[in-house]
Amino acid sequence: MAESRMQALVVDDNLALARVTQFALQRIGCEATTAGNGRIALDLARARQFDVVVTDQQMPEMTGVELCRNLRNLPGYGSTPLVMLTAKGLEMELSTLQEELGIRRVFPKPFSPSEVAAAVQDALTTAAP
Amino acid sequence: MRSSRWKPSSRRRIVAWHLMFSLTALLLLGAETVGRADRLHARRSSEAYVARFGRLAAAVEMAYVRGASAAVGDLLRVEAAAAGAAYCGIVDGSGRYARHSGEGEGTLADAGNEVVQRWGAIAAVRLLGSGQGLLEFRTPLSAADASLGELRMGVPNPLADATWLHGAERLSVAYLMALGLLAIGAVLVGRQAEGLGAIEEQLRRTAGLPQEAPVALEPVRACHALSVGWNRVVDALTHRTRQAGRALDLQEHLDQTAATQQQMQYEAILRNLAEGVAVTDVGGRVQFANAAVAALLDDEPDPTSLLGAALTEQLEKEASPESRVSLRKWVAADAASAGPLQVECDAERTYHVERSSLDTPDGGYVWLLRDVSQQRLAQQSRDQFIDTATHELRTPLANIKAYAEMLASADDIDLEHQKEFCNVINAEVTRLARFVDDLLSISSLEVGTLTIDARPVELGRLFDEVAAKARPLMEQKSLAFSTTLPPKLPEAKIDKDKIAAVLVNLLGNAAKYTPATGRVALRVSAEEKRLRIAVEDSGVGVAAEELPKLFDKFFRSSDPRVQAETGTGLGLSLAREVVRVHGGEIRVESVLNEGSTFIVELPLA
Repeated sequence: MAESRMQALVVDDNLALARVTQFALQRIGCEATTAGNGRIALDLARARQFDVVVTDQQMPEMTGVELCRNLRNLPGYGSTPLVMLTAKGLEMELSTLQEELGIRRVFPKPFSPSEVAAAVQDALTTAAP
Repeated sequence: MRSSRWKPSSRRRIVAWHLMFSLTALLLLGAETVGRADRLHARRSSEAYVARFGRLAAAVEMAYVRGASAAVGDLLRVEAAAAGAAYCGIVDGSGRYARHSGEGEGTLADAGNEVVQRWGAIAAVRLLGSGQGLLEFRTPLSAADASLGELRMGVPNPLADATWLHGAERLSVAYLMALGLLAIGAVLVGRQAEGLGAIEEQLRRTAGLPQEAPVALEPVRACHALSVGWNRVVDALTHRTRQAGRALDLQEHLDQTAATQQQMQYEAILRNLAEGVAVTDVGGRVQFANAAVAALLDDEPDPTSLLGAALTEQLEKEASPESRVSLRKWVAADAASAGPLQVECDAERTYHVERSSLDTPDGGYVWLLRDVSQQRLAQQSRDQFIDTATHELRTPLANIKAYAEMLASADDIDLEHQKEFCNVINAEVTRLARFVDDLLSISSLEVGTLTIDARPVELGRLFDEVAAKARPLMEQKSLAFSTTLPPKLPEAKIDKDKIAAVLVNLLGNAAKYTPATGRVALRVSAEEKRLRIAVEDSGVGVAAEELPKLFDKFFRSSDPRVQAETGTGLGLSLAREVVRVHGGEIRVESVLNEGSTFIVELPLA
């Protein structure tokens, strides 16, 4: 059972927010892992394959967009659904983000964890072959 | 202008009139004198004849008395010759010559002859018959009461004689003298009238001038009262004109001085403006620059060093490469439509440049230059603050919303999680409240209304409370936290809450920026009149170049280890303000990567 569960990675320097997002994803049946910044997230992504990545944009060391770009360069992450959370404006146009990085959705903070979970579920079902 | 036709000068006319009247008078006088002299001469001649004639008559009568009548004829001849008479004779009672100096015989017609004068018995008769006009003296002769006839003597008529020549002869000398005097008079009159012509000419010219034209008179040669008087008048007029001119000059001078002074004032204002003002010609060469411009562009207080230089080149020298490009575009654009430009020189300096066309015939531009580095830095700090504040507000809000929604939407959350979620919400609300407090403090600090409520405070208790508040932060990161207090602490008159907030803030920073397992110490010492509180940590430290800005409002270190932590950049500036209001001071000693010590000193008295 555990093997068949979708693997989700939640990246946010705000640990409380990462925790509640993780909780919401777990409720829809995902196995969610949290990471406090982009570097840890990349390490985790290299270690094992995630089916979906939810990341904050404003983070120290590496922004969400930079993380997405790095992820796309990793083997196995070419078409992994990406969802972004942001408290401020983005450093580039939404259309560019979607085109270049294939980011599915962008949620402005404060966001509803259930909506994020729904978007993740939607992404997983359409992405699944 | 009126054509000046030649006219005989007044002097000549006056001399001519003088000569004409004088000569006429002289002629009349001469004629009268000649007439008078003539008459006098005639009378004198007549009287001489009469005397001679009287004596002759007496001699003839004597000769008849003596009986020597024969000698009468000789007597008559001798007398006629001596008197220059034409003849001399005795006429008897029948009207015949009894005796005659010549051969005169016969009866004499006496009709028509008139007696012109009588001297007693002697009568003078003008003889009409004589062509040459003889005058005949007649007197009756008698001897021993018997009439002897009449003695007659014809002489040339002295009245009819051309005797005026005699007068004229005598007259000539006097006449010549009179003429001489007349000539002298003419010369004198001429000299008297000498200046008149010049004066008259000037007056005529003046009369012909228009009303408002200036009157220009010239002095004439001073030779008499009139010309001297004229010259005085001319002098007075010239003097008055000059005085008026001088008064006019003075007014002009005053006006000019006032204008110069005003211009100097304007220039002084321009020179001393804190804002840079420069004027360039159409070619962009500096014609005027004030000290502020020189300081901005040349780092030199003397603005004359910029004169003639191309202002744009000077600006380009200062500008960063990117700014240089935009500056060139801006200068090439129309001055009227192009707005102000921000020229970035480096990270620290930014100039605000404005340009407008100069409204003069020569054209050119007026430039305004201002150093807006401070404003720009302030703006950057403010932007950063807005950024931070937004983040600081959004993060707890996002958490609160997410957790609250999660709690509300899911009924099947176990109690453990529910409790955890509520704690998170509680912690986030606390964080939010603290941030709002910070904002309120900073806004009161901003408007200068930070007041302290100073009361006697037991310092020992204050430090215990502060330590108690800070301890959980230390424990979270496993930091070694120690407090060192003197055995006996004095009482101090301070605002306990605000000082406590400052110390908690300092300890909170120490905890925030000290890596786990580091150490933090609170050391208090009381000197004579000063309380010294030091907060030491073995944290990330502060780079030397950032130390001076550490207490600035909104300042946050660019160190990534600091950036990773949340913060408003307000805590330290607030702390400094609180300490300052207490009359104390706050300072920092720090070595990067080794740790920092914040020292607060408060007066105790």
